[in-house]
Amino acid sequence: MALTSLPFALFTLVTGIIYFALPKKQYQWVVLLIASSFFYVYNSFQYTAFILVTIITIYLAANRMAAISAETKAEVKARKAEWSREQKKAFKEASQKKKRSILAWTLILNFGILFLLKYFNFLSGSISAILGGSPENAPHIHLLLPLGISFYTFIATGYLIDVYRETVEPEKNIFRFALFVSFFPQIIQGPISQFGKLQDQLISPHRLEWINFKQGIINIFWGLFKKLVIADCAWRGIKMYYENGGINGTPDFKGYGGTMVLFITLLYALQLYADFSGGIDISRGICRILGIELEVNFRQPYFSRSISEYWRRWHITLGAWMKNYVFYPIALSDLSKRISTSIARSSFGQTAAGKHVSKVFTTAMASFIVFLCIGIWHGANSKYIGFGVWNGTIIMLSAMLGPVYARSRDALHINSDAAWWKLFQMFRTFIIVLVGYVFDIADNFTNAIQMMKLMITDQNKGIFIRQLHTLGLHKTDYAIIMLASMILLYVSIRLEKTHLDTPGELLEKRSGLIQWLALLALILMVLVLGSYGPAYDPAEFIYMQF
Amino acid sequence: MPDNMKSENKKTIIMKRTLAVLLLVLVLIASIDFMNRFLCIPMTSNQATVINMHHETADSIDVLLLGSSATYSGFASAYAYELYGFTSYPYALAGGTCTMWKPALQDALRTQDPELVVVDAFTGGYDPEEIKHRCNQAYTVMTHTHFSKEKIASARELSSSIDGTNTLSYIIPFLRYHNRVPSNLRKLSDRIELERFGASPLKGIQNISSARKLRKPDESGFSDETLPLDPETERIIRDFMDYCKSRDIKVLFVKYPSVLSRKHPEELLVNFRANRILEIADEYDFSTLDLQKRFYEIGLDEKKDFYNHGHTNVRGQKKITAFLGDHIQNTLHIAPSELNDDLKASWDESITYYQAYCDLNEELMQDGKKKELWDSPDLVRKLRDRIGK
Repeated sequence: MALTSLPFALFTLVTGIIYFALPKKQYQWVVLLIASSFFYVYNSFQYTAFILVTIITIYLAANRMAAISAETKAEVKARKAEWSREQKKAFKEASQKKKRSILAWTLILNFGILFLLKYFNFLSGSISAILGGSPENAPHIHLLLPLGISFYTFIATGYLIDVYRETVEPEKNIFRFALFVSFFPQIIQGPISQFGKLQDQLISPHRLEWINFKQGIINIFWGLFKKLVIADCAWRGIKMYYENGGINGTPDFKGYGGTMVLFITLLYALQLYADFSGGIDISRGICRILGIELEVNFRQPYFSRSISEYWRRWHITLGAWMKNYVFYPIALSDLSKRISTSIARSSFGQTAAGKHVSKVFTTAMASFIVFLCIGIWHGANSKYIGFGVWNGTIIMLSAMLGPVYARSRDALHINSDAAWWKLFQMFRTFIIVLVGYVFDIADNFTNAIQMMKLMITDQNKGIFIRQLHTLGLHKTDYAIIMLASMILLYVSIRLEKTHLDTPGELLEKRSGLIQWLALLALILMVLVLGSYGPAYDPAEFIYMQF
Repeated sequence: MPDNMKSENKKTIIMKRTLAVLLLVLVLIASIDFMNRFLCIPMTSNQATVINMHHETADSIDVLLLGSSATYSGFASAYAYELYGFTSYPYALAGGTCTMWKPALQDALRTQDPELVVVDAFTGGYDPEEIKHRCNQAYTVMTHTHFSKEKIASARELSSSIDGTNTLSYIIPFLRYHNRVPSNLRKLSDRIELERFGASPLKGIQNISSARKLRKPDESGFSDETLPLDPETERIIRDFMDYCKSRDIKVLFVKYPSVLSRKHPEELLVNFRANRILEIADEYDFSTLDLQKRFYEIGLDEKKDFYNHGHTNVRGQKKITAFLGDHIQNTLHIAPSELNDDLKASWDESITYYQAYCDLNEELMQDGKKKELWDSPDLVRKLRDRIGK
């Protein structure tokens, strides 16, 4: 049941009607739980056990940890007079150790499932290749991925760590917790919500509000516009490129020119953004109608002026998860502190450069590891590791060489507030992002390097024009992509200037007539220009695979 | 503000919003309906065939011919009227298969009450995979069929017989063809003109101005050999026959002649399957006529009368029409149609147009210009100029 399908629309409509028609609003969350369970079982029946394991183990672990904390506090309070400071400290440490052990085992179990299903085949093939064997003969697990496994594992483990850190209270009701983990609008491709921000909204009663309804509908159709009009149309060209063997270095390689490879990369950048952010817009729109505000996951990422800014605007909730649960623990660990100190105390640490490096080294290293994790999160393939290494290296170098850049800018008398400089920075960042996408498009790391080489060395306009016809897109399709991209660009610029999150909020400032006309135009564009219907083989949301 | 005023305001706001939503929905429905009618389905000869069929005066067609290109290139209604006096119309679509027999007949029966339905058995003999995947013709027919219980039943039936289609898209063709809207926009005036043109004197005629010199047909093409039908195809065919039986419709199953040879083995297989369809028709006591076997009796010349091995040009068309028309009148006893003055005048006019159509074909053939000439307002205008009206 794809997010853009008619059955999903009907399912959502029925859920919404029951949700709002329910006389006892305090039980609305039960409607959401039943709907989410139905959605999950319908889409991933044979793998329901995996999500149940995650729900049950994390629910039990969180409550056990909370119980240990409560018992510890009670015990310490009860023996306040009796125990010395050291005894209290030792008791607290012992409790903390128990909690840490529960946390560690639960994380190992849940990430173990994720690892086993997602990475085992890749790792076993790689080890076999390193040992001189054939990756094909290595032991393999023949399983498909349970729906949304990466997303719900991250959502649930994030909650568990928050409970461990005592930043949130554990959910006592397992059914309510099950709803948080399996909430249907976000399970397919996120966002990766935080318990503290979502849970109260899920269980609170909601009435149908006109503003929520209107904003939600606009968001849904804006998402459908991005997905069906832009992403799926662009996907047809990219798919043809794949089918024509454009990225294979095999003997039957059809020989796409470098300009075409560059064009495909640009098309992919457009498709990926429209696909992923479109899906999120649909999810957020549905939630908005239900009175639930999901977190923003995209904020015009291609307008970023640096790669670190890009990652604060792209898949924001994944970035936030990584920052909270990977970056900080690494950057603030004792080991990091020791490395920093040892750099500072070395002879290199006494120089100006050394002082800077000793300050930023741990955060740079932590960033590198975070991006390696993001790369691995995207999939079990050397190309994704390459993608992570590329982004991590750029961010690490940006942090380390920050003063050099600043000095060079000053030497060249560049006004960092000048519009041309900002545009240049955006362009530069976009190129870096595109390089990362090449890893994504290519079959493997070697082909990614080949593609980049081709883009630089083989530019031929004539061949490109001829090859453009081989993508199976008609003139009308190119015109549609161009027109829709212009609309997307215009809306993105307006959102950027106004610091708003959705086109609905932009329209809110306009007259009622303009709002209705814009909505009508949006719906008609989706209906007329969108890629759907019985003869159309719909492209799945890219991030559904993760 | 007092409470009653507040609630009055609230009521007005709710009323306004409800009206706005309803208006939006209405505008959307109207837009989609307009696009459904004028912009979705590509403007093709098949589209014109169906629309022109609907323009025929109610209850004025005595012989309805269902089939594919072999039907309209092999039979000329105006010529049959000239020779035998009965009215007819080839409700035949390029590439049509047996899946469209029933919906096309149901569509025609809304306005016509034919005394005889002639069905091209060859269209049921296609490769089962082709039958399962050819959906454009069914979409074309269903697009113009009025909404009814029968339409829903047909849509269900078609979606189960044709892969990659669904019931809803037969009822709302927009779901399938929506992305044709931008490219069809420039053909909007043609489409509107066709809609407004009214009954055409060309009566669904279609042919190609070419005479290919073909080799003599193989003996194997005249054989009675049969091949079993795919179970799903046989189910569709039997369902159609049951439908005709239940409504007491007189049906003649024919095989149009073509130049079959071992060069086109797939066509031979189609022919053998079509033989099996004639056998099934016999079981149901329907009339059958194998024009393929009467190739030489009809007087067909493979060097002059075909534009390709499967289709006759106007020369062949005249011969087949004369032969089939004779069979219809003298064997199946379809009497000349009784027409009022207006209808008679229009059918008489169609004879003149057909003659002009044949002359144009001959001229083009002599000039070596291979051109597809189908029943469109453009062609009617061109022929009108030639006739001097």
